[in-house]
Amino acid sequence: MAASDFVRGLLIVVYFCFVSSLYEDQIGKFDWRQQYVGKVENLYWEQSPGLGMGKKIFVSTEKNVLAAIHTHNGSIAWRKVFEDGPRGRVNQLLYNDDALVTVIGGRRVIRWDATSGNLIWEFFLPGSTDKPATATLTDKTRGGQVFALSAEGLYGLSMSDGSQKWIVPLSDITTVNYQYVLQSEDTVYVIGSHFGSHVTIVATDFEGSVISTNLVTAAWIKENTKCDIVKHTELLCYDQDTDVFYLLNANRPEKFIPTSLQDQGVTRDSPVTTDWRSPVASLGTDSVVVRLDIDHLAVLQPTDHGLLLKKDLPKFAAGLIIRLDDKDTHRDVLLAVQKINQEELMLKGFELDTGKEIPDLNQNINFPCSHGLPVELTGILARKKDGQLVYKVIILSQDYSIQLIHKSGNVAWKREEALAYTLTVEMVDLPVSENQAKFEDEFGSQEDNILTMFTKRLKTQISQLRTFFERKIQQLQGHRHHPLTLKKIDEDEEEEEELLRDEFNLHKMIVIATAAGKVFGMSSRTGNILWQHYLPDLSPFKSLGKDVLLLYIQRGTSHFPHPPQGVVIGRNKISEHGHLFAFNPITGQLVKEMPSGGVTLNYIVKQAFLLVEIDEQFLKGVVFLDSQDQVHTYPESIQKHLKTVLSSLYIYTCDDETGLMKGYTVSKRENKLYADQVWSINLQKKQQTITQVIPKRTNEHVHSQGRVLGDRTVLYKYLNPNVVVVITEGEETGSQAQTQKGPMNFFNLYVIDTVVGHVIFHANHRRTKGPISVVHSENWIVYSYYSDKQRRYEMAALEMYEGKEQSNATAFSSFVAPKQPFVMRLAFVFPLPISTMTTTITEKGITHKDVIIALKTGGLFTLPKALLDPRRPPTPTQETMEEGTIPYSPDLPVNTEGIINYNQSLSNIQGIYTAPAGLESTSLVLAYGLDIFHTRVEPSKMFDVLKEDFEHWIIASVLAIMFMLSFVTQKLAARKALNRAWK
Amino acid sequence: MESSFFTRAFPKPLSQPEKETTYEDEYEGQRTLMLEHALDGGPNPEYTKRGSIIIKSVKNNKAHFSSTGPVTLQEKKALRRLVEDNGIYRIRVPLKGTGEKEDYVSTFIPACSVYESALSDQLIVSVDQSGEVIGIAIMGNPTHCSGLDIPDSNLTNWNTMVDISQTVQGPVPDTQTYIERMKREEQAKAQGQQGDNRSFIAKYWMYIVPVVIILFLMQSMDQQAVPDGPGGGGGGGGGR
Repeated sequence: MAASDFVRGLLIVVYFCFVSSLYEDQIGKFDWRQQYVGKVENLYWEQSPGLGMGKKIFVSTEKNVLAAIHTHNGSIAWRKVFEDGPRGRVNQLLYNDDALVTVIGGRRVIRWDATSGNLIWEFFLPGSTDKPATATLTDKTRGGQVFALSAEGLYGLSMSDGSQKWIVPLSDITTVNYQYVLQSEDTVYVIGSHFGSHVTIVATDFEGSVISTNLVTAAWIKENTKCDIVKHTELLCYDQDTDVFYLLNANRPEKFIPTSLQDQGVTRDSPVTTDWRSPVASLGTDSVVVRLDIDHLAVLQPTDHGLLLKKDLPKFAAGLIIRLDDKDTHRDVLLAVQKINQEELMLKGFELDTGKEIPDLNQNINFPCSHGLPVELTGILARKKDGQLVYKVIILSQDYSIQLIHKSGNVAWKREEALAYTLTVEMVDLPVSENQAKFEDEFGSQEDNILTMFTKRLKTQISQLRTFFERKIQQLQGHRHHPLTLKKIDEDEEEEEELLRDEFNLHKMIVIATAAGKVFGMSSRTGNILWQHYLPDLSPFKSLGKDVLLLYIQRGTSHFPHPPQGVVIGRNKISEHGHLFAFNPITGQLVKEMPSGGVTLNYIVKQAFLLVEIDEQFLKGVVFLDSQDQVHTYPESIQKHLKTVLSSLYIYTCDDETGLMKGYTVSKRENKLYADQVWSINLQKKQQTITQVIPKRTNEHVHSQGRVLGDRTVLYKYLNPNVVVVITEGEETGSQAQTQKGPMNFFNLYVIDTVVGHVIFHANHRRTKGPISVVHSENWIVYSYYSDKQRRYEMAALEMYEGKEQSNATAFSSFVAPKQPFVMRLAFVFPLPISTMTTTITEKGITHKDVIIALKTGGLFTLPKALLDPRRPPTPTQETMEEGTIPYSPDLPVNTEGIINYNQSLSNIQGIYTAPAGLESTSLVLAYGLDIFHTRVEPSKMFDVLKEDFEHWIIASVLAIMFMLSFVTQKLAARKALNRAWK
Repeated sequence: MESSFFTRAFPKPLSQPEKETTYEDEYEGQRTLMLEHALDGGPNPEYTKRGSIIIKSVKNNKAHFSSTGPVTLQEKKALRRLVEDNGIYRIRVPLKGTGEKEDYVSTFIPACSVYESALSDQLIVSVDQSGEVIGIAIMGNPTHCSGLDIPDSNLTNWNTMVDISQTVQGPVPDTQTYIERMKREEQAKAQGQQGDNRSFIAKYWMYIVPVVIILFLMQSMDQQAVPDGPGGGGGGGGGR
């Protein structure tokens, strides 16, 4: 059959067109990847005797990650990422004698090989998962055992192979909450608390036979009372209500000894903070560092008569005690850091026994305010042969950063773990160079006559020449006079020079807002952080069950001399009011009159968005709707401009608690702006919950208004810019058929016009469940979900068309729009699980679109939109071939050439951001999550640039030869003509 | 339970239970929705009854509007004033009889659109898969405002069309037709192969004929060339 052969041929051609793979030598040329671990919860220094201590650190983090980090450069030696949610949570990290053991998901005890990160053994603790298990390790000298406490009993596990040696079942587990396991020389103690009454201490020996069971009264103990193990065998608890510490020695379980810090002479304003004890493990010393406030520490020593205050450390933010072994004696050294000014920390060392300062250890550390305050300090201390003390210290800060400090006070390396918490990304064009700006100026003004334009041209060219010579002279001088400092200066210069737009606008500034309250400016070419700000009061909004930070670029770089401006909007951590921070996205400088931590607004923000119109200073205003339905703007001055667009300003809100969507217009009364409700939609909270609202991107250009069909007519796209997609998820209830199969999940998709509140289209997917990821662009919607019925991942594509006639071609209005566009839909099977997806965006929208899919398997896959076309015909005909649609096949192909991150797997991708480059063919991609990956994609291949391997020489030489040939033949022809004339 | 939100014009026949397993044939009983409108454009407008929407069948998109009565003089005046102020005309449908707040679905349109269309408009009621009303939309007919002046006599009766927009089933991958198509194609191919049982020469005559011709030509050339000796330059001369 010729037709099917033809179709097959067409398919092959089409598929080949879409392949956009990379040559081997292009690896890392256009892309970069950064790997992170998250906020550190537990940290241990490697102890491998002989080789020297502390080559690596082992960390477990909030992001369900276990990792080893090299201490010489901060790179990741190995990293294990566990599954999302509580099942993959690293509850406990234990490290002793080169044995690395974790408790994961509350029940899995796993031993890892510390050098390679390979799993050695795993033991699954039976029982319920309500309470996470805890464990403790013994030294090798004492048999090498792991004691794991689960909800039901104490397990003795062999360290070498993880086999269960014995189990001690615990009694009265219904009333007593067994939480702590500790050990002395030959005894294991399990301590459980009966809230409001007593604690139970069960002592067993290492063979698993119970020695004793003691009850100690503790009427003050509550569910939220925090206790910690100190000095191996002592339990220290803090009662927040009475501000009293209680100490219990498990060796002699008689009573808790109360100690009040007031009695010890410590004065402070507020009671002890909830995280009073550093979660990072302290090394085996007698004393304990207790945090009283964000910058107030105290060193306490447990004694038989209660706690003894060894040292009060007001103004110190973090500290640690290290035991220093000197020949035969050992002494405890206290290291503590204190913030002395905006840019520096002071590290001080104290002799703990005497309380005297060790001046040798005092050191100023460069610590910019973009890290907040230090939170944890951990390190190692050694004595060199010449008697000098040296240390390596790791500082964990409020902004989740990790940095290693040497004795010299230099920061050896830094890891910005806040980037693992990226919520919002924008890419900003870099400014053009001064000369180029002048050129623009030359052609920009229209009233100039020829003469002035000519003089302008001369001036710019002279200035260009001058800067060229100046630079040359500078380079020569630099080489001659400062050979030593040259390198550093050069680096700085390069950095500054780099911040200019390149020819194709491929190099951009990436602005990243993170849930940690940190804002970064990053170069898209290298991934280097160029500026950063820490906003201690900023926290994300909670919207539809997700963390959201708003990041808007109010003014781009193309309005010289006005500086570009960006704004981050979130929620104040304490007051719940809006919190706003405005900055220059290129340099990172703050906007005038902006405090360094941002400003707190005096209202709760319900909705905020960026206006599309610019005011006379080329600034786009941000409009806020507060909880009282009053409308505010940032900056305030934009309100004047707002008046002119007031009649066309519509706001919508979406409440997942009531299931109502509401629309507002804005009107001015008594010099204030108010939002008046004009429409509402009821999305039936009883049955379903709104989980996502997906608008279109405002900077998207649609090149083609329609599609040319096979019969040469045009099918016009429904291009309503006011449309949002709303996803609701729910569970069907009530019917008998469902009860047998378990809960029947479903989700609904609504396409809603947010000006008039019209539900344009609504579809229902039964027996499906999320997570649903949606791409909404132009006139199409692509979404993925899991089909419960078929047990597979599926993708559906919707496209909306007006029909063969266009209703309002010049400007779209929701009031006169065709109310019911024609919605085409088709579904496909996708073979792999998806974490999120998005679509490419280009300068003018001429290029085909690709859907970029982050796979849970670690890949970043590009799928041509043409394959997700609802017009794909089930049986190809002459007409569909003419139109160029690919015949329908239910499964979407996943070819490895489409994986744009080749072998650089990405963990836990939360979002993908795309931005147009100056080249129409190219779109910039940034995938973020635990890892960050940047690359560029060309969905229709590079049609506007010659290929890299384009053979210029061959073309040039062929041209030259042709030219010469024509010249020679002309001569020959002339001679021949002459000869003929003579005949 | 859901059906209680609508005031039913007729009680459902007892034989038809209220809850049914599938929603395709659910809520096919006739029901009535109240329609209210507001002719003052302020922030908290006062709604008055405009009429009722009678839904005969959701599935078959059968519904009509019945007005409470002709438009009063006051209402006409209010509408004119609204048009002059460039205001908006709002409508809403209460979902629960009385009691709880905010159980309306509502929408709006520029007042001129209603006015200039001489009170002829189109309503679209969106109904979800379980029969709940989720939203309403209104559209003037014609939709554009051009500043016409409509005589009072044309503003007496509502001329309203009602459409029902029902939740549709989302698409599912259509493996069946694809497999069928593949099978058909395979069969066609198999048939094609069986059908092609022509002789070798019949199949490949187009390759054989040129070869034969060339051979023939060469032979005849050789015959010419032999008496001439080595001088036969007839073929060559070309390459450089």
